Amino acid sequence: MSWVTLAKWEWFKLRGRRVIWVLLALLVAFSAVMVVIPYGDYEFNRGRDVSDEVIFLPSAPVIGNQEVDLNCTEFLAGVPITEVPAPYTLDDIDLPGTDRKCRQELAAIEGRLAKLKDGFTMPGAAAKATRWTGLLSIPFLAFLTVMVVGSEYGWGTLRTALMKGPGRWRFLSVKLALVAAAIAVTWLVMLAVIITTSLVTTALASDVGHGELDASAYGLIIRDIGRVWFAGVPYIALAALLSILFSRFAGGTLAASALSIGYFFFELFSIGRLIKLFDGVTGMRWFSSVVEYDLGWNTAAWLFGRDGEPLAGFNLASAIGTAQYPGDVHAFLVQLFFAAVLGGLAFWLFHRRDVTGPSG
Amino acid sequence: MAANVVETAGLTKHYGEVRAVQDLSLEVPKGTVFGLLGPNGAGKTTIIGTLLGLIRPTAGTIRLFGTEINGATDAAVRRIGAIMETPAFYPFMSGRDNLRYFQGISGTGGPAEIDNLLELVGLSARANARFNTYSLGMKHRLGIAYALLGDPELLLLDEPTNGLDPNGMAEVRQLLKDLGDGDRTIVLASHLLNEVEQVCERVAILSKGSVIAEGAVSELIGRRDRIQLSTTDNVAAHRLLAALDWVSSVLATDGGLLVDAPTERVADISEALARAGVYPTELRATSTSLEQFFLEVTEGDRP
Repeated sequence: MSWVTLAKWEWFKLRGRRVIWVLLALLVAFSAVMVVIPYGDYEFNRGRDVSDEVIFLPSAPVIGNQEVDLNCTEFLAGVPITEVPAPYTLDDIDLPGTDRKCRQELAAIEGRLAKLKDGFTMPGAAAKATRWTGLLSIPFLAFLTVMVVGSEYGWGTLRTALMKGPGRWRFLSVKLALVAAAIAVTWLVMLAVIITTSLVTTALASDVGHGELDASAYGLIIRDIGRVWFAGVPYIALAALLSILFSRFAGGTLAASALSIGYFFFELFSIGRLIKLFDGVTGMRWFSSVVEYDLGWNTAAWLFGRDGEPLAGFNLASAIGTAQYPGDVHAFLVQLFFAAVLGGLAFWLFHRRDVTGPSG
Repeated sequence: MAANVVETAGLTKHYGEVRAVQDLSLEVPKGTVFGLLGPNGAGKTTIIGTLLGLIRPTAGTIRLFGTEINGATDAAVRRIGAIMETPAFYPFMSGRDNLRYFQGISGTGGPAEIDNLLELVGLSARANARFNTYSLGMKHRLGIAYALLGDPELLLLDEPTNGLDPNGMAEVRQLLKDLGDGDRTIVLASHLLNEVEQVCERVAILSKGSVIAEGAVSELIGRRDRIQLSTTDNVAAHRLLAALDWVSSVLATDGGLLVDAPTERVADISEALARAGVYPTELRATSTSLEQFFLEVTEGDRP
């Protein structure tokens, strides 16, 4: 029995599970939404009259309200102000101040529009969507792994399968490889969806064009996808280990899913804050040294940081609560270490443990 | 003499303090229908699990098809068909797709085999229905089809009729008899004595993980052949027969005596009684059923 044949039959089985297709569809839909949202925001902001946003500055306060709505676009284009609300008069206008303020406001709006435009045109759309979907892909991977490994225990089908002689090592290896391959294919499908959505939205927003789309731009996108994929590998190993560990209990599949997903989110959103909290606290300096080698922290660094710095323009990176991440090489090695150790333990336990009937 | 398909020596499995199987030595010759008979918890499932490499023995050796197995059972397992307790299949797949999958990972057979097996177990009409819609009887029948995938040389069947109605049990037993007619070896683990008696040629009786009796079914029953008699004076006959050195025991029963003695000595009993002036009114050899034998040898196990 070749590995390829076994993988083919694993896929034959996996493709029949509706829940996997639903989850994949959600991920793909999410990646499209990540492009559509900035496009919608862009269209909304582009159509707005700048007068909603800016003001003119009276040279001296007459009443409490010193800022009054003004169409800055027209004002900067040279259209004179002919009317001001009472009790102001035209003489009250601080023309240089209003000009400066209008320019600041317009620059801010243009900056925002540029950022939004970057969110739905290529290559920015792909980069941004990849980061967000990266956050979701790890729980998805963990859940998929638990379904693929843990369900075999829950249904008692592991025994039925092993009785046909595929071999334990090979059986588990093929399952985990299939999960890793499935997520890689999912990423490529998501990339295609992101590109298509970006082409459509960019065409709809007739006044914008794509950024420079050369080999290096696509290289960066592929690299980002590779990073997200690699970040999932230790969590595949963790979810497999937990599935095997809890295999003897009814509800073991549920527990393995909840723990592996909960572990990821807990570390992602707590460690940065704890580092800040303990910063400068006597007796707690060890904390930041220890978490340098923590899986979740290094995954966060790998996904949401570059060379130790939080990703610019990515809100989540700052929401995690840190100004400094471990460096890329450090994060890569720590993740590799956890993947090897957790995977090794999972295989060892899978090989050693007696296989009994359904666990519920 | 036929080669042994299954041999164990000193096979032991402990779960912590619990001794599921203790120093088990078994030999199952090729072409035999062999019964593992024992009450629940006697270690039958554990023995089959160790033979299949699903359960790691604490000690002892296993030889399958003449080759010692040291954990690497995969090649041998592909020559085995097995059912363990209630068959477990993928609930979201049809019976046919389940068989296709297991056939695929075993690397044997083709689509025609699946059609034939579904026909054999009477599941053709529901073959494309999802497994989770099957009744218990249908699940068992699918389990038998699964076990027969690849036309295995050895069948290990753990309680194959568990949960079946009487008709289903009769069908499965007939199927097992048919399957055991050729060169195929079958090991049937069951707590149902009449099942083992009907289907098996040889049997090992298990108690607390150890074999307490083993042999051909006819031998085991024959060991306890007895002579049932009534006489003109049962009290005198009891005293007279109990004094004979080839009589193991004499039991007074309702209206007669049950003499534990070789059945070929019926004529000697008649002669001894006649010499003493006691005349038999009824005299016949009786065989105990396997059930009686089983109850006797496992008497100490019952609470």
